Amino acid sequence: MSLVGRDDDLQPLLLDPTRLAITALLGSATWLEFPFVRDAVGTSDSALSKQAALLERAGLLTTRKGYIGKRPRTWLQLTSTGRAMLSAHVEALRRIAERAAATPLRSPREPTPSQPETLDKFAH
Amino acid sequence: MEQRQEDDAQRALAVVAASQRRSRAALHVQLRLTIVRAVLVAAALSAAALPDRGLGALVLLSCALLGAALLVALQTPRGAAVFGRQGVLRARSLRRGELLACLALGAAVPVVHRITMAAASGTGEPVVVAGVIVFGAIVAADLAWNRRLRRDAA
Repeated sequence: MSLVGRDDDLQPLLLDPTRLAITALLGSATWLEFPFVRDAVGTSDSALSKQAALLERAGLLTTRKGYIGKRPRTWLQLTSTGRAMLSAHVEALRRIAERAAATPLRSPREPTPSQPETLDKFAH
Repeated sequence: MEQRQEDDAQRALAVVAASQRRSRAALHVQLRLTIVRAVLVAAALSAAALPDRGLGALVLLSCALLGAALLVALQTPRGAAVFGRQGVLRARSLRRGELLACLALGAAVPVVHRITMAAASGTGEPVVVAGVIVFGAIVAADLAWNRRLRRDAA
């Protein structure tokens, strides 16, 4: 993504869309079951395991293993650090979107102040 | 460059919004199951307080049958979609909410029952009226929340 270095609050780890989707999903709940996250994010078991392990190592996520009846289950939860990082990241994204929206867009035909007027004649 | 960054930021924000919507929708489905459980527990609790033992036993039996029907419904894909899969979300707040809902409904049903008994003395079954009022309030709240979720999604 071209957002790197745009805002200090942007979390490099959350610039990946899959990791961002996982954390945003977990941000609205306490514990989420692994298959639910996998289906909601639209990824495979192994890909989710890999991303979850990465987020867990970074301290954004915590996992818990247990059983429902005899079936083994894994639940994922966002840590308080993860929640704080997610909200900071989302706020930074909003700021970037707002700043960009506030900047008036120049039409491609409109000459910029540094652009000589003569160039515009040859542009057509 | 600015335009590309804006697009990237908008795309990332859309990912966040979509994930939060999915999570909230799943919570809503799970809450329906919680409400149904809470209603069953509340009905069972209030049945114990009924002066008419025969009617109390009938309400308890109905609760048991409804509970069994719910367990069967949860095994079917349609039932799971309507009521939520067991254990999809393990929200601590939801468990606390479930307990509070049980207690609140358990307390509310006999109160509404007494009020309707006083208001409609001798006109039909006050228990039914109380049940309809409580159930109507729950359905109205559920529909209102569903509408809000749809509005958020739009």
